Amino acid sequence: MHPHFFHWHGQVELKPDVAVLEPRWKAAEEFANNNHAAADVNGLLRIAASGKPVDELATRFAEALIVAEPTFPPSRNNQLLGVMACAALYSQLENSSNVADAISIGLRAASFTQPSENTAYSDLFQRAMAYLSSEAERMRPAVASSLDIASSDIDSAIAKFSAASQNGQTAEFGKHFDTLGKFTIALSKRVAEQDRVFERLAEETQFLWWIVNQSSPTLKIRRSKISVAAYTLVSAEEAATRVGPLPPSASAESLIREAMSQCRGDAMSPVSLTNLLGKCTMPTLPSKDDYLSPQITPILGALKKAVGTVRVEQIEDVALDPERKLAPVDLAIHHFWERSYLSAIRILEKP
Amino acid sequence: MKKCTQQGCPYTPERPDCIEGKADCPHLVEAVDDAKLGQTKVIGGGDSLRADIVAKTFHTGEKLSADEASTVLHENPTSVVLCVGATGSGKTTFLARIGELFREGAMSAWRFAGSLTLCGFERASWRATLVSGAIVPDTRRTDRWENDTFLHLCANAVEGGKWTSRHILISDLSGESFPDAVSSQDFCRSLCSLQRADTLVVFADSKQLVDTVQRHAETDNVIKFLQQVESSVPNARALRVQVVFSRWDYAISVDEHLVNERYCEEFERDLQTRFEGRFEQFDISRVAARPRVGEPTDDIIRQIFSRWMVPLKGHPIDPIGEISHARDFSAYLRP
Repeated sequence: MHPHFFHWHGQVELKPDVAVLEPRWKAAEEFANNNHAAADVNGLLRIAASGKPVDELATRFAEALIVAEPTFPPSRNNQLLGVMACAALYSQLENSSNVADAISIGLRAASFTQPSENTAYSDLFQRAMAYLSSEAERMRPAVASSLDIASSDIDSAIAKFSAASQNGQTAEFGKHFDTLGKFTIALSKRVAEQDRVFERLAEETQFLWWIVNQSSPTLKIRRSKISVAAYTLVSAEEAATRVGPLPPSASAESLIREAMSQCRGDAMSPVSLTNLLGKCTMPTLPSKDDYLSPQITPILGALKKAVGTVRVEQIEDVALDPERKLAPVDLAIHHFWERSYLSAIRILEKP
Repeated sequence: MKKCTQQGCPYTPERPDCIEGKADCPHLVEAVDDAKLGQTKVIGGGDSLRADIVAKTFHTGEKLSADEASTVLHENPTSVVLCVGATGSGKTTFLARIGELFREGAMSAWRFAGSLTLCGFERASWRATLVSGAIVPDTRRTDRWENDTFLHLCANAVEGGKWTSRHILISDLSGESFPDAVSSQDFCRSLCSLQRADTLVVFADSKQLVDTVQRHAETDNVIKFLQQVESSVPNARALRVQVVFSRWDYAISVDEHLVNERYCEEFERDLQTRFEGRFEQFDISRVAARPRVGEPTDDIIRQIFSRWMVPLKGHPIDPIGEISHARDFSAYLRP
């Protein structure tokens, strides 16, 4: 249980009862453990970010909480459910997993709009950012760790193993067989690490060529010939497609900044969102819009709305303030996280 | 499982004989047997019968208890405001004036959008109305038992081209309890309204501040109370604190008003020095909610109210922040 869980409750209940905290936390954790489907994770994120109920998931979640803790209010509980959704999501960030990746990237994307103002959400957000940072580094090792067993020991173990098998010495045979088994396990771990090293190198090479080439592969034009505004969303799309393992490395943000600095105009000067979106070249939009929501993917929602390819209920309360001023590079970075979120959540669709 | 809401109807899913003999009886609703709650609740069936009908409770219109106020907090983003000050310092009068401004439709951008405690607001301003028969406008004193009870208000305003509504719960600590709050950390810890408050409004009575005998006790109490808040509220730094010099008409209407104003200015400076930066926001205002002569300081009251409606963040969220170890390619260069 999170040490601030009492204070999280204090935001939505004037006299939090200490006795109900433990069962509520456990119920939220259990619900999250048993609902790893993409739609469930997406729904919990939306409840946590907005404090608004999301279709049948909110009902299922409330029912699960009532079963574990009968005093939990069955209805009119949006804010309380928001806190419990934060608890459920927080519990998933303890270990690295695809679910934790999707949650942390989703929270990063949701920070573009003004998310929930409660303490629970702030604590969850901070934990997610710490997770993103450590997990992105873990998935990109500099070099694979060395084997625990020296190759000379293995040579000797193989010789002794074959001698024992020829002489019919069962005890010796078992001992050296065990040594060889351990070596095989260590070797397979090392191969997996090597894979990650290669993935990292491939990703770095992709990004380096993207920067060094000084041109946009999507627009097929040198960056010096296009304006910052026109390249804003396309740069995010190009960067997102170059990410290897998820979650993306935070240095991707610096690389987007670098790529945009090669364009005409100032990527750092704030412009109103209406102006900026009006001048942007439309990037390729995802064909499926199952996980678009005003809380987590507001920019994609607005773009889909502009081209009329999104269901109305998904964007009717798109949370973008058209008069909001922000630098093109900030818009590009947020859009990059939205696309990364869609990649991360789609991984959860696979069985 | 379907269930009929009409008494005496023998309908069951196995024997669907409705009392009115209709095949699609409008009184059939979905029933959920909630074993944990030990009761059967009707939670749907037709547009007119929604889940809410079970949860709806009858409100008397009086102030809400802490449990009732919690149900508001469960559902909506809500700001909690606590008004604190000595007996007669004008807390209730101030709240009554807010109610009156809403009634007159004069609360700047904010529009009244509902209240569960209309009687509470009415009671606060009743003795200032002609029909009450009072000779001089007055306000009923808040009793000790009313500590940790709340007035509720929902207000709408247009923000970014959209209507946004915010709920607010306002508690008014009885003046008799103020000395306890000044002297006892335990008392402060026991006040759930103080522990949960987003905004704390501390009333310094200008009538006392212009009295050369009483003024030091008044200033000491305000300072000591704020110090108690710092030590007894876990998240005190996130509080918005507003010090209100109430009944300001007393400070400016007497002969030595320049001397009085100077004293109040010095007190303001002292407060700023002590508490500026110790809370999320700290500001000082001069208010006359129901002056003996002249007009109420409605503009300032509106400003104070507007600040209540701006949500505070529990902790700062910095989305960019220091979240990364940016990868350094120099490690792969030849020495």
